[in-house]
This record gives sequence, C-alpha cells and structure tokens, in this order.
Amino acid sequence: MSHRVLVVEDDADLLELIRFKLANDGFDVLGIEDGERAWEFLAEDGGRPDAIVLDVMLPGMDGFALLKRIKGHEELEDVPVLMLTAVGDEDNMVEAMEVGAEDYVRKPFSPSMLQARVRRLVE
Amino acid sequence: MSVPAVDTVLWYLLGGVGVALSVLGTATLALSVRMRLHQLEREGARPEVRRIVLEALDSEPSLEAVAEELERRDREATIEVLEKYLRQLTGGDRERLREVALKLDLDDRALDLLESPLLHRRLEGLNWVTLLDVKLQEEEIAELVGDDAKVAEAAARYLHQDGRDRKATETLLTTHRQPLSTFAMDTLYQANSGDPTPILDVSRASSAEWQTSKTLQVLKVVEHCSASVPSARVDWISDLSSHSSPEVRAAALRAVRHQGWQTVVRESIDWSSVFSDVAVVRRAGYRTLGEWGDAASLRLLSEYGSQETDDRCRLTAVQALHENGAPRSHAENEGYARTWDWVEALSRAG
Repeated sequence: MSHRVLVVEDDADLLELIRFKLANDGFDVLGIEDGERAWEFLAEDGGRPDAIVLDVMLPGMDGFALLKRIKGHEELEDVPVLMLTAVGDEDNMVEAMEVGAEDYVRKPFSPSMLQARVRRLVE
Repeated sequence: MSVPAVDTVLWYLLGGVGVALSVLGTATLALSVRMRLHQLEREGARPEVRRIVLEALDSEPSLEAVAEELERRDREATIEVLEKYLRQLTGGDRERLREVALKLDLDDRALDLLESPLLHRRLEGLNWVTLLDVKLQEEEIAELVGDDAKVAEAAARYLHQDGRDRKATETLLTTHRQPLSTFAMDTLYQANSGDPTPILDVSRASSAEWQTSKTLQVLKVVEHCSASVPSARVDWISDLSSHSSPEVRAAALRAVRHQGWQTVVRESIDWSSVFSDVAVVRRAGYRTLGEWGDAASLRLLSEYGSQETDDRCRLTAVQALHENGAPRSHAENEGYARTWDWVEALSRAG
C-alpha cells in the first residue's frame, strides 16, 4: 500500500511540482493550499497522513501555527512533518524543530532531495 | 467678419475636451479588457504548460519533444512557469528545466531584452541571464549598468550567481553613492559572507564617497561577515570612529566585533574616546568588548561599565561581563550594583 502524504503549499506551481515528484515516487499525495483547510482536513475528516510537507508561509494559519496544532493533537502528534522554509529562516527553523518538526528543506530546493527526505520520514 | 462670442468658444473648447476624454476613456477601457482577456488566456494555458514542464523532469521525453510541445502553447505562460521553477529549484531538476529554456531560445530572448531602451525590459533581461547562467563579459555589463542603480543591483546579482563576487561587490559599491535596496544588501552579504575580502577592499577605496546611510549599510554587512581577515583590510573601519555621525561611529565598532583576535585591530580603538561619546556609541563599544571577551577587554568593560551613567549602556556592559563569566566587581556606583542584581536574577530565572 502506498504511503499518504499531505502537502500544504499556497503556491500552485510548487504544489503541483511537489505532488508530481512524490506521486512519481509512488506516494498517494493530497495537496491543500491553505493552513485552515489543511487543519480541517486533518482534524475533522480524520485524514491521518503518513507524512506532511508543510510550507511556513501560508495565508490564514501559517505553517508554524499548523505545526503546533498537529503536534498538540494526540492522534496526529506522531505524524512526521517536513517544513519548507525560505533562506535566512534559521531561527524559525530552530523553533519549528523544538515544536516537533522532524525535518526541514530550504527554498530554493532540489525536488529530488525533498523526495528522498519524505521517503526517509515514512520508512 | 463677426467675432464668435466668448461663450461659444468656451463651449467648443469644453466639447473638445469632452470628446478627447471619452476617446481616452474608451481606449483605456478597451486596453484593460484586452489585457484581462490575455491574462485569462495565459492563466487558462498555465495548467497544461505546467504539466508539460513537469513531465520534462522525467527522463522519458526528450528535451526536443518537450520544447516542441511547449512551442505550441502560450509562450508567455511557458515563460512564467519556467521562471518560477528556475527561481525556486536547485539540482538536477533545475538543470533539466534550464536546458528546456535554452531549447526554447530564452537565452537569445534575454540578450535581446538587454538591448531594450526600456528599464524594466533590461531588468527582465538581467533576471533571465542570471536564471539561465548566460555568460556576459564584464565590459558588456559595465555598458549595460551605466550609472543606473537598479540595473547595477540586478547586474550584481547576476555576477554573484556567476561566481564573480569581487565584481558584484564593485558594481554595488562604486556605481552610485545612494543607499542600497534590501535586495542589494542581500546580494552584498551573499557575495561576501564566505570571504569578506571584496567588501573590505572596495570599501577601503571608495567609502569616502558614500552617503552616511550607505556607509551604515556596508558596515552592517561587514558586521555579519564573520570570517577573519588581515588587519590591513579593516583599517578603514577604524578611521570611521571619528566620523561625524554617531550612528556610523557605533556601526564601525560593531563591524570589527569578529576581528578582535588581531592585536592591531584591538589597539586601533581609542576606548577613552569611545566611552566619553554618546550612549549609542558607548553601547556598541561594550558589545564589541563583550564579543572579544579577552582579559584586557573584560578589564575595560568593568572599568568603564562601573562608571556608566546611562541605564541601558550599563546593562549592556554588565550583561557582557556576565556572559563572559567575569566576577562581579563591587563599585561605589549604586546603579552598577543594581544592574548586576538584575542580570544575575535574570540568569537564575533562565
């Protein structure tokens, strides 16, 4: 059975790219463009993915706020989260790792590297 | 011959203006509608273009086949998608998309844009030569830049991406005297963070020409370039300690905070003058001494900090001493003792 990955990214071009790369690697990928809707999906629809790729800059609820909710939710806290961040965001990344993010990738990024990191998270 | 009445002439004039305004309004409206339709057309084409571009990341289709298929689509949508991915990606996937862009002759398009008399077209051209790693000779860049600050900043980014950091730094610091944009500050930092020799050398030769705000910007970048460099390269910073602006005097002190390992740098600063200066300069002085943290610096911190009259400066001095593990000294100054109590209490609270 393929692993389910939720990608939360507000840039449609990047979302499609990540979806394309992960789907090519055999993942079952769901893409959502904003934090609120991602939280609704996770909390209400009971859609527990095997991993989450989460952009930091999102409209509405940002990536950190969503990360805190995920890691504070007893059914979701153990879902591995990989944060997508911008260069120069090191302080925020330290905070994200302290909140519980498992990994992060800095933009600009190598899609193949992202693919490999997600694979490692679910294995 | 009868002369038309003033009222009639006025009415004709008003009528003429009215007609001109209606024509202008209609033309503007038509242009907006056309642009909107074009934008919708591009947006409509985008998902398909994106699909073809993404499929190029697979090794299956040949680059020729991908380019051929993209040629049949909306060219502007193709350019937008490729630009987005070339900007956001690195590694082998980016390289493959760069090759697709070259197959579509976007490098030739970039060179044509550089010839445009319009500034925004030239900037777009520079953006594309940067994205596609098109090699430009230094003379071509100099000619392109002229004395235009915006073009200089875009050209500097290109030069940095191309590994020509000294030339990038020169372009930013010598083309004009005005302050740099945030984008240019970032380029300057990126070009010098590994080895600050270019920024130090170029500044040494040209800092006298700059406006105060630009001097402050350059000192800020130098402060964050932590690599150590020979003392001869930072002597121009010491000279700024007598600058007329207190902000520059303070920034000069902060800029040498990573160079304290050099006796020459440490000895080039007249501390009695620093600690008789205004608060912003004294505070910078305490911070820099705290960064150096050697025995002589801690002695100076203790000596001047215990006589400090400004609360914030005193706090900076005591924090620097405390962070360096210096023992608490007992001075007559009541404020000094109180500041130590506060810093120790903060430390205990974690």
